[in-house]
Amino acid sequence: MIKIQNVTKKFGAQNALDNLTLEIEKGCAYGLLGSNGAGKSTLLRLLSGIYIQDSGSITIDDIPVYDNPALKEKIFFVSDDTAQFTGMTLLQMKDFVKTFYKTYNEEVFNSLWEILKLPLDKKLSDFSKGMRRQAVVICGLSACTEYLLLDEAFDGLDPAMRYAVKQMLIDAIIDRGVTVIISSHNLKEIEEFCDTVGLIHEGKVIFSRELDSVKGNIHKVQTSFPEEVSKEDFADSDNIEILSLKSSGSVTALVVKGSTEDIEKAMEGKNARFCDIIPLSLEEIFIYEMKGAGYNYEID
Amino acid sequence: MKLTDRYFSRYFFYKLFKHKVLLIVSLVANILALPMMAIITSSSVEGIYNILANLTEEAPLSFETRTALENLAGSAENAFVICIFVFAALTIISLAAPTVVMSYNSKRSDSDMYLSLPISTKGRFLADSLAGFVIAVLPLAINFLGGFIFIQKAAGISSEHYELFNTLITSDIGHICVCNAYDTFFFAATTGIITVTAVYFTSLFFTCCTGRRAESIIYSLATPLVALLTINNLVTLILNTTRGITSWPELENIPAHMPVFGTLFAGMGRFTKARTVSSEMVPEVLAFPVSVIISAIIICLLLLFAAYICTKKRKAENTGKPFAIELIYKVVMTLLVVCFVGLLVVSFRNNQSGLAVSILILFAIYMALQLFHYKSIKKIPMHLLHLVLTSAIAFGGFTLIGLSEGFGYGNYIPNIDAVQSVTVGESYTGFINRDGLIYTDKENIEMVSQLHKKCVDDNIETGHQFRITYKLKNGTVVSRSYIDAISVHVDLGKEIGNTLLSSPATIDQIFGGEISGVESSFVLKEDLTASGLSEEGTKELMEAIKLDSNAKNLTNGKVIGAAELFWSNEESFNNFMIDVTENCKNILSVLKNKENYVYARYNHFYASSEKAAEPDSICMFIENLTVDNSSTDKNFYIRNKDKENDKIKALFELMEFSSYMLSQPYHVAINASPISMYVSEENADEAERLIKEIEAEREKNGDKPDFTDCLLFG
Repeated sequence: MIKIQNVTKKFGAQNALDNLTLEIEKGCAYGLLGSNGAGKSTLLRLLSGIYIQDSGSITIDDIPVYDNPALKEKIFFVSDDTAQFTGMTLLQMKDFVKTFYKTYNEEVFNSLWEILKLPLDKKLSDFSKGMRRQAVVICGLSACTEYLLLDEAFDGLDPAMRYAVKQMLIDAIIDRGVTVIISSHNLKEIEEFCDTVGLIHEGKVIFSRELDSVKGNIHKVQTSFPEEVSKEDFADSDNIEILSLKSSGSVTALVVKGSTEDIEKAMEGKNARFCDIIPLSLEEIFIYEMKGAGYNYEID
Repeated sequence: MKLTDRYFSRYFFYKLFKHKVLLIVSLVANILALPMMAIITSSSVEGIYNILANLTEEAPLSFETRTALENLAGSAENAFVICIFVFAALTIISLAAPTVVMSYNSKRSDSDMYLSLPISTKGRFLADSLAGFVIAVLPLAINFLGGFIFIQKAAGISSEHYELFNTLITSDIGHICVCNAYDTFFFAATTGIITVTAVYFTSLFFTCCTGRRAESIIYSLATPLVALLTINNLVTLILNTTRGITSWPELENIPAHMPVFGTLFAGMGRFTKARTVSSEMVPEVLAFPVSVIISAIIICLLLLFAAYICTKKRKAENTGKPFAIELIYKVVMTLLVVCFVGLLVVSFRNNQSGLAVSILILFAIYMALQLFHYKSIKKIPMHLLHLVLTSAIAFGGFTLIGLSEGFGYGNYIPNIDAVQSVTVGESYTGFINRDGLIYTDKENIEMVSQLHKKCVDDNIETGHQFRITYKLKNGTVVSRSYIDAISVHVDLGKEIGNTLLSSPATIDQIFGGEISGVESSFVLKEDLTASGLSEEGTKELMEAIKLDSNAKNLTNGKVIGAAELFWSNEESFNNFMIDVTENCKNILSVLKNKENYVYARYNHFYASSEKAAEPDSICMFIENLTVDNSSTDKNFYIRNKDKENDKIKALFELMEFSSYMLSQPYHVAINASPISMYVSEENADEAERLIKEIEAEREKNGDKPDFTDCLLFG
C-alpha cells in the first residue's frame, strides 16, 4: 500500500502539496485528478523518488521511497515531459530499461511492440508526441514493475492508440496485479479504467474514493417546484448538499450530493412536481467538486 | 557501496557507453596532445640537446639520434601551435564532461529519467563522477605512458640513455628535478594532467551546484580565476605592507598551488623561463614542487567531496534554475567583490589613477551577473546593499591586513627554543655570493634574535642589507630582511654584531672549506704599521684568529688595529675584516712577525716602483679626504719613516677601525688604506687640521711623497 502522510512540498514560497494525506491500495488503478498546478505531477515525482518532500512521509509497504534503490526497482515513472528519452532509439530505450529493472520482460515488450509497431532504430526525437508516449508506455509496461506511475499518459494519443494503451494497462492490472497511478485531464479515460480516483486541488486532497462511490454520491436532478426555491431552502434537508441550482422557467436543475433516496425525500419535502435523477459523468463531478473547492470556474 | 546499489556498475558502464563519442574524442585529442607536448618540451627547451650531447663519453649518441633530435627541434615551433589547440580541446572536454554525464542536473527530462532509477544518490554520483573522470582524465594517463614510448622511439634514444636521464626525485629538496628529455616531458605532462584534472573537478563541483549548463561552465572557469586573483591580491598586499618581508616563499607560492589557473600559469612560467636560460640552469628552472601536485590532489578531493554534498543537498526541482544550491552563488559573488576590492586596494597603494574606472567596472560586472542570475530588476536595491556591505567588509579586511602588517606577522620573532637554526644574510657579514652564516647554538641564535627584536622595535624599513632566516624545528622557515639595521642601531648592533661575528661558530664558517688565493692587509695603530701578509702569513693569521676567537679575545680590550683578509673558496671570492684588540695575542704575534710582511717578499703584492719595494717605502695612504661633505681627490701618503712624526701619531689616534664590514655611524671624514679607517664627525676638523699642518711642513721641507712611493695591495 502506498501511504502519503501529511506531505508538504514547497517550490519557493509556493505550496505545491499542502499537508497532503492519501492512501492507495495495492493492485488498484488509481486516477489522479486535479486542475492545472494542483500538484499531481509533483505527487507522482515524490512517489517515484525524484523529489523529496519537505515534511511528512511517503512509504510503500511501510518503506520510505526517497533514495531507496530497492524500492525504486518496483516503480517505473513515465513523465509528462515528452523530451524524456528523446536521445535514444526504442531499442536503446529498451536496453536502458532492461539494464536497470531486473523485472524487465522481453516477451511483454515484444507483444506490446507487435501491437504498436513503432520504429525500433529511429530516435525518439524523430517520433511524434503520441508515438513517444507509446514508446515510453510500452517500455514502462515491459519493466514489469509493481508500480507504474503515468503522468498524463494519454496526452497526445489518437483515439485508437488511446484505446490500445488503455487495454495494455488494463491487461497489466489484470494479469500482473500492477498498481497503476495515472494522472490525466482526460477524465473519460480515467472513468473507463480506474477503480479509484483522487481529486487534488491546491496541494490538498478534495476526495479519494472508489469511482463507484464517487459517482453514486453526486447527481444531477431535474425538477419543478410550485414556488421559486433557492439553495438555502434545502438547508434543513438531511444528508444532501446542493452544489448547484439553476431555474429556467418552471424547470429547475440541481446538482446534489447525496444518495438517491435522500434526494428524492428532499424533493418531496419541497413539493416537487416531478423528480428526474440523472447520474453525472466523472468530468461533471470533477467540475462541480472543483467549483465547490473554490476553483474559479463557471459553467452553465 | 551498499548492497542496494546493485546497479552501480551497470549504471557506470551504461554511462560510459552512452557517452562513447565523447570518450573517443577525448582519447584522440589526448593521443594528439601528449606526444606533441613531449616533442615540444624536449626539443624546444634549450639545453636538452646539450645535456644529451655532453654525455657522449658514457653513452655515445649515434648520428641518427642526433639527427632525430635536431629534426625534433626544427619542428617544435609548428607543433607548439597545434598543441595549444589540442590542449584547449582537452580542457573543453574536461569542462564539458561533468555537465554531459550529469545531464540530469541541467535537463528536466533527464532528471525524471535518471533520478527515478533504482540507484542511490551516492551510487549515482560516484558512478557519474567516475565515468566523467574516465572520459576526461584517464586518456591523459594512458597517453602519458604512450608519450614516453613515443618520444623514445621518435628521438631514437636508447634504453642506456634512458638510464642516464632517469627521472630524479629528490626527497631532500622536495622537488622533482627535470633534467632531461624524459623529465621535461614528465613536467609538461604533469602540468597538463593537473590542469585537466582540476578543470574536471571544478566543473564537476559546479555541475552539482548549478541547474544549467551555461552557469556550470561560466562559473567553472570564472571562479578559479577570481579565487586566484583574490589570493594574489592578498599576497601582494601582505608583501607590500609587512615590514621586514621582501619575499615570503610560502606566501608567494600559494597561487602556484591553486589549480586550475595558478598551477597552469606557474607551469607555463617555468616552461617559458626554461627556454631562455642557459642549459645548466634548465633542470633548476623546471624543478616542479611536489607540493603543487599534492595541493592539486587535495583541492580535487575537496571539490569532489563538495560536489557530493551539493548532490545530496540539491533538489530535483531546481534543475533548470541557474543555481541549485543558491548559497554557492552568493559565495561566488562575494568572492568576486572581495577580489575586485583587493585589486582596488592594491592598485590604490601603487597608483591612484584609474581608480574610478576600476570601481565602475566592478559595479558593471557585478550588476550584470546579478541581473543575469535573477532576471529581474526588482532586486537591484538588494544587490546594491550586498555590494556595498561586502565591499565595505572586504575593504576593511584588506585595510586591516595592510595596517596590521599581515596581522602582526611582520613583527613575529620566533621563540628561541623553537628555532633549529638561523641564517644571517650576506650584506651583514660582508661576503659576496654567500648564503650567509648559519648558527645552531642557542647563544648565537639568541644574539640574532636580539638584533631582530631591535629591528622590529625600531620599525626598521624593509630592505636587502640585513637578512635573518630562521628555520624552526617544525620545519617552518621565517625570513626577514631589513635595510641598514646595524648602522641605525649601532649601540645594540655593533656590540652584538661584533660578539656574534667573533664567535668561534662564525669564524669556523668563515674560514671553512678549501681556500686559495689567500692574502691580507693590516694596520696596527700602536706602531703605525700598515702592511700586507703573504699567503703563508695570512693562513697563520686565520689560525690565530680562530685561537683568539675561542679565547674570546676578539671583543675584549682596546682596539689597536684591524686586519682584512681576502681568499677564494669553491663558492666565491671572500673578504673579511676584523678588529684587533690588545688581548689578541695570537693575532698580534702573526702581525708583528716581520718575516710575513709582504713588502719583504711581495710575491702577492706589488710595488708601483722599485722605490716602493724598499722597506722604508710608503706603507699607507689616506684617500678621498671628505670634510664638511666636500670631497677632494687628494691622497695623503704616510711612509715608515713618518711614524715618528707626532702629528701623524696624533692623526692615527683620531682614526678608528670599521671592523666586520659593519656600516658604522661615523661621519666619514677620512678613509684610509690599506684597510678602512674612519674619523668620526666630532674629530673630523681636528684630523683635517693635522693633515693640513703635516702637508704644510712637507711643503716647507720639499718632501713630496707620491704614488711611486706606494706599495699597492692586492
